[in-house]
Amino acid sequence: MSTPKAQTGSDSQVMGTLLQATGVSKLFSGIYALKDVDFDLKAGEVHALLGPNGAGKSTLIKILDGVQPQDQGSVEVDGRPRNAGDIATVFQELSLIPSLTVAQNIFLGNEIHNALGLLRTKEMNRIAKVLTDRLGLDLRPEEPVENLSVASRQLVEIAKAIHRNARVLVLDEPTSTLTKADQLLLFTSIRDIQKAGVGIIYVTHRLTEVFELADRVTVIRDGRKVLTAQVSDMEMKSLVSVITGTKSDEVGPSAQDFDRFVPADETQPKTGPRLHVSMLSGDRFSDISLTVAPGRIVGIAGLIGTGRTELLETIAGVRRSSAGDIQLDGQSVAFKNASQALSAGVALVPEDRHQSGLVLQHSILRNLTLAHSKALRRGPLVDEGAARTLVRGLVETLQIKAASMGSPVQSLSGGNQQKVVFAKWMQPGVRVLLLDEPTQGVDVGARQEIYKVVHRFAEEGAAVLVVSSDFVELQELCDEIYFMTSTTMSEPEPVTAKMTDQYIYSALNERVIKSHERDQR
Amino acid sequence: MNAISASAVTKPRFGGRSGGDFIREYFVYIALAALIVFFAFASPYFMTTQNLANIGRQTATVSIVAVGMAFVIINAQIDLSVGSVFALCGMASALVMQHVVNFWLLGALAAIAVGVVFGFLNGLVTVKLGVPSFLVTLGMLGVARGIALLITDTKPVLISNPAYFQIFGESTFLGLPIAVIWTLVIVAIGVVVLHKSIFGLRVFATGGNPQAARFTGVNTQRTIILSFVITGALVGLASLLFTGIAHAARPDLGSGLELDVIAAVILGGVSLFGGRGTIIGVLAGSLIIGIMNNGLVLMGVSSSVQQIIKGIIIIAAVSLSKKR
Repeated sequence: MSTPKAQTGSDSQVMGTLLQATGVSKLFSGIYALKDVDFDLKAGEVHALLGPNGAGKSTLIKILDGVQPQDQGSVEVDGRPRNAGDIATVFQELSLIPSLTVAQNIFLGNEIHNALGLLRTKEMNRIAKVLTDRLGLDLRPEEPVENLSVASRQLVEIAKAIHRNARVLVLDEPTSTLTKADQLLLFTSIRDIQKAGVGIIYVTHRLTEVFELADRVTVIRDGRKVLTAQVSDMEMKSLVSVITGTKSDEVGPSAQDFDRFVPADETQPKTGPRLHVSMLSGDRFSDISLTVAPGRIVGIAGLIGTGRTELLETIAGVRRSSAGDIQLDGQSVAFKNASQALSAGVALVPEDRHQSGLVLQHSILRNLTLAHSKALRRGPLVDEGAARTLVRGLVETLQIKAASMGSPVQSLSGGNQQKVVFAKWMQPGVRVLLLDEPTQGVDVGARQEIYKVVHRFAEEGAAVLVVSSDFVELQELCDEIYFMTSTTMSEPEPVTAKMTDQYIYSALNERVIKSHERDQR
Repeated sequence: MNAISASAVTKPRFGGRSGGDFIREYFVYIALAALIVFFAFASPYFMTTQNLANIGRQTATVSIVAVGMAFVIINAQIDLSVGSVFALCGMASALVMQHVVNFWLLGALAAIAVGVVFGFLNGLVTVKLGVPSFLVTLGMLGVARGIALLITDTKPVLISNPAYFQIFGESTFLGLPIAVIWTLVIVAIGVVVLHKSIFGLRVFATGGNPQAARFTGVNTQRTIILSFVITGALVGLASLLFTGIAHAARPDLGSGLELDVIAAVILGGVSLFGGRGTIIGVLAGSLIIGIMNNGLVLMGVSSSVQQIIKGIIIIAAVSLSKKR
C-alpha cells in the first residue's frame, strides 16, 4: 500500500512537471539534514509534504525557495534553474511587517511607483483590495496588518504570493493557527489558485487535510524521502505508520484514528467541581459559565476571535474580569496577577510558547529551575544539585529529547519545546491546568506524548481546560466539550466515538449562526 | 458559512480606539501646545517676534538632525555619534575655506562629505560586522570628537566668508530666518522620502520585521546604511547653520546633541523598537526640545537644572512610547 507510485497525472487539472528537485542534500555541521531527496511538483497540483518534526521538511522548502543553498543536487522550474520569484513561501513564522498596511505588505519589494520613485498608494490599495476580495477577505487595504487576526494575516500572505505571480506556492503549516471555518476559506482559495495552474506544496501535520486537499503526498523522515504516492492510493493508517516509521498496528489507537472509542470516564470522583466559572465577562467574551471536576479534561470549541484565549487568561489572572465569579474548590478567587494564580495552583500554558512560555536562548535546566525555584530554594540561593536531579527526572518522565539538560531550548524540536513548557508545571499543587492550543506545530508522534502528559496531570487530580482550533485534538484529548461563542457557552457534551471533528465543527457552526441571529435582532 | 468566517477573520484585534490611545497618538502635539501656553504666561518676552525667530534658529540644528535620526530609529537602529560628527563637520568646512579655497560651496560640501563618510562607516560596520549600532556609534562618538580636537590641537577655526554667512546664517527669506527655511525644506523632503517613496516603505519594513523584509526581497543592509548616510549628510548641513551664525567652528561643539535629537525623535512618536513614526511628529518633538531650551533660559532656570528636566522628559517620553 505504501509503495511509491509512478507519477501518473490522471487528474484533469494536473499538467506537466513544474518543479523538479533532484538529489538534494544538505549538511549542517557534518550531519545530513537532507540526503539525496528527489521531489517534483506538477502545475495545478497540491503536493503534501509530511514528516515528523526535525525530519527536514523546513530545510527542504527553504532549499526549494532558495532561502538556503543546497550542498548537492539541483532545483529546476520548467526545466531551467529556479529563478528568484518562481517560488513563494508562506512560512510558519509569518513574514509580514506588523506596522505596515495590507497593501504595503502585499507590494513590499514590488512597489508601484512613478518615475521619481514615489509610491502610487491609491493604485496599490485598489489592486490589494481586488486581490484580498478574491480570497474572500473583507478588509480595508489601508488597515495595518497588526490589527488583523492570524487567519487574515495568512490570507494576506497568500495574496502577496499570488500578486508576485509565483509559479509555486509553498504553504508551511498554514492551518496550525486557523479555526475550521477559516481553514475552509483557505482551502477554497487554494483550489482557486490551483485552477490557475500554480503548483502548491503543502506542509502539514494534520493528516485529515492531506486527504481533503492534496493530490499527491511525499513523506520525509530523518532527512530522506521515504514515500511519494497518490493520495487516492493511501489510507490514513498506512500514512501514519510511514510518518512515524512504525508498523500500522504499533501505532497507538489514538493516532488520528477515528474508529477509536473513548469511554466516558465512569470512575469520575464524586467530589465538587475544582473549577467553577459563572457568568464571567471580560475582554471579548461575556456571560460565560463552565465547570471542571478534578481529574477531568474539558475542551472548549470556538472560533478564533471569540475570546477563548482571553477567557483562559482571565481565569489565570493575566486579565481582569469585568463581571462574574471564578471559584476554585468552592472558594471565590480574584487573582490580581499570574503569580497569585500560580501560587493558588492555577497554571496557564500559553498559546505562544515562544513569547510567553520559555526563554528560548536559555537551557532546559535554566528554564525549569526558574519555574521550580520555590522547591529548589536554599535560603536566597538555588540548590543546584537538587535542581539537576529534579530536571533530570522531568526530562526522563516526559521523554524530552535533547543532547543534554544544558542544551538551549531553541535547539529542540517544536514538540520537545512544548514538553519543556509542560515540565514547568509538573509540580505539586497544580490544581487547574489551562492549555491554549497545546500541540500547535507539533508532529503526530510528539502530540501523542503530550497527550500522555496531559493525562498524567488529570490522573493526579488536576482539572484541565483545553482550548484548541484542532477539533480532532479536542475529540482525542477531552472527556467533554463546551461550545463557545463570544456571548454564549453551551452545556458540556461528553465526548463519544460518535463525536467526530466534523460533528464538533457543525455543532459549533450552528451556535455561531444562532448567536449572530440573536445579535442582529 | 462565508459570512461567519468573514466576520471572524476581519474582526479587529481590539475594539474601538480608547481615549488613552488618542492621547498617546497626539501626545506630542498636545504637549507642544501646552508648553507654548505655559511659557507664554511664564515669560512676557517668550511670544515676541524676536524670541520666536530665535527659537526657530536654535531649533534648526535639532530638527534637521532629527529628520535623519527618524530614519535610523525607524530602522530599529540608533546613532549616538551625531554630536561629535557635528563638530567635525564644522571643523571641516572652516578648515577647507581657510586653507584651500574660501568658497562657500566648497566649505558646505566638505562638511556634508564628512557627515556622509561617518554615516556610511556607522552603517557599514553595523550591518557587515553585525555590531549593534548602539556600540558602533558610541565608538564613533569618541573617534569623531578625537579627530576634531586633534586637527587644530583644540583651537577654534575662524570663518570669513560673507556669502556663507548669508546662505547658512544671517539672511531672512519671506521674513523667516534662513535656518527656519532650511528646516522647512528638509522636513518637506523628509516627509516625501519617508512616507511617499519606496525607500521610506522599506525603512518601515526593515525596522518592523527585518527577517520578513529580507524574505520579501528588501535589501535591508542597504536600507540601514542609507539611513545612516542620510543622517550624516543632515548633520553636515546642520553644522553649516551653526557655523554660519557663529562665524567660527569649535572642536567641542555639539556635545550632548545626540541626547536632544533622540529625545525629539522619541517624543515625536517614533518607536525606539523600530517600524513606526512620522516626520511631522518628529518636527513637533524637536520644537518641544527647542522651546524648552529657550523657555527655561528665559525663566532663569540654571543650566544644571535644565539638564535634569530634560533627562526626566526623555525617560517619560520613552515610557510612553513603549505602550504605543
